Amino acid sequence: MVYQLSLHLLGDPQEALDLCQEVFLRVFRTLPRFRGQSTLRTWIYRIVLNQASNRHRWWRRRHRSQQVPLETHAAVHGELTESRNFAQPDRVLEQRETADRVWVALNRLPFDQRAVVVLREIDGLSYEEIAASLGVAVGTVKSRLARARQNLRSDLRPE
Amino acid sequence: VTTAGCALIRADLGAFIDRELPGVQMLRVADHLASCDRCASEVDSLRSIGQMLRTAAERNQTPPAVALIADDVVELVRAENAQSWRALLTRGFGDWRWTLAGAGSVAATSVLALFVSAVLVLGPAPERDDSLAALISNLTSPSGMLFLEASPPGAAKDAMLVGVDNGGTSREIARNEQVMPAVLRITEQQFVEQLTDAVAREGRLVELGSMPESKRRYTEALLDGINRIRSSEPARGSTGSLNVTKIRFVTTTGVTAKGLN
Repeated sequence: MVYQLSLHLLGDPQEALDLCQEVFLRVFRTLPRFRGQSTLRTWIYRIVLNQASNRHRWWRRRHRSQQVPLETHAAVHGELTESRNFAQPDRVLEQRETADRVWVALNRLPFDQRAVVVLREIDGLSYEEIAASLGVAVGTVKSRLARARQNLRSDLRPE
Repeated sequence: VTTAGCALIRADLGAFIDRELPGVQMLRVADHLASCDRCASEVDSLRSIGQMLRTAAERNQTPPAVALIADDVVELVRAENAQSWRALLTRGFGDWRWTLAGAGSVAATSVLALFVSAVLVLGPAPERDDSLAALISNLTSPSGMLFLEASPPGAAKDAMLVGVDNGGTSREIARNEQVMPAVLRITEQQFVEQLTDAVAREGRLVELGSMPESKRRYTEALLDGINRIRSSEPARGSTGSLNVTKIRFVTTTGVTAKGLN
């Protein structure tokens, strides 16, 4: 659960592993202070989200100068798999391409929108649980989710 | 064709597919979708995004390293708990040592300041003869004694010093009245005669200080009686048996800055 959420939020397996270790350590250290005001799952989700947010912010600061627009990346390294213009008869390969497109689109979302859509669509949390995990109002969850879906639909629209 | 109703419904489509709408609104949206192909298509599109995300997530396998992380963390926490208190304190306060040193200095300075203040407030003060406390003490203390330089008629050279209670303390008067309670019923002339007898011995005056205690009190009572009679009756001139040449008022006080009890 923790690893999958970390991976979906950060998009990098190694980063997700590191985040997992941080989260487990924090859970072990702070478990005596857990008051049961929320469910244990929500409490752990909140820790994952906070740690992921910190890590994401740190990573963005550190690598801001190294970020390049998608067009530049495509010009240097070639097009991404989702827009390759040749037929892929193999269904497995097609699913993989679709998954790659989904991850690219997900990683292009702002962190707040990404967290909401991952918690809702992949982890299946209710609006109430998402709000508790993020420490925001339910209305905020609704609006972020609507924007996230809109952005994803724009990115994943078939060409 | 998009209608105004569609615009209202579309705001709820996300919550509709998440089943987060109240029952009445769920029915209203469902009714609309049954009759509106565009909104139904919108719902399908939103659902497909969710489905794509879930399908993509299923492809992600959890690596075996994750299972080892839990063991590593447990070992790490156990190692932390096994550390000595001294190590924990050193680690916890390692960065605070300068703060603690500063706080200790401030505390020591405060204690010293309190000690000096206590010494100044509670300690003995030097005596001063011009302090306000000394003036108050003088005003409230007994008014002292009157002394007469007096001599029998015709014997001015043998002037003696006679102590007279000036009425400042009722205690002294009461003591004299005990010695001679009938003193108030005799006349001034009789007082003077008895005073002459009391202070003269073999034609010489006897000082009060050399008299026995009882006789000295008797003499003071006589002088007190004379004073009383003279304060209530007109003076009769110097026809008495004593010639008073000088009156001295003597008072003694001890003076300290803190006042006297």
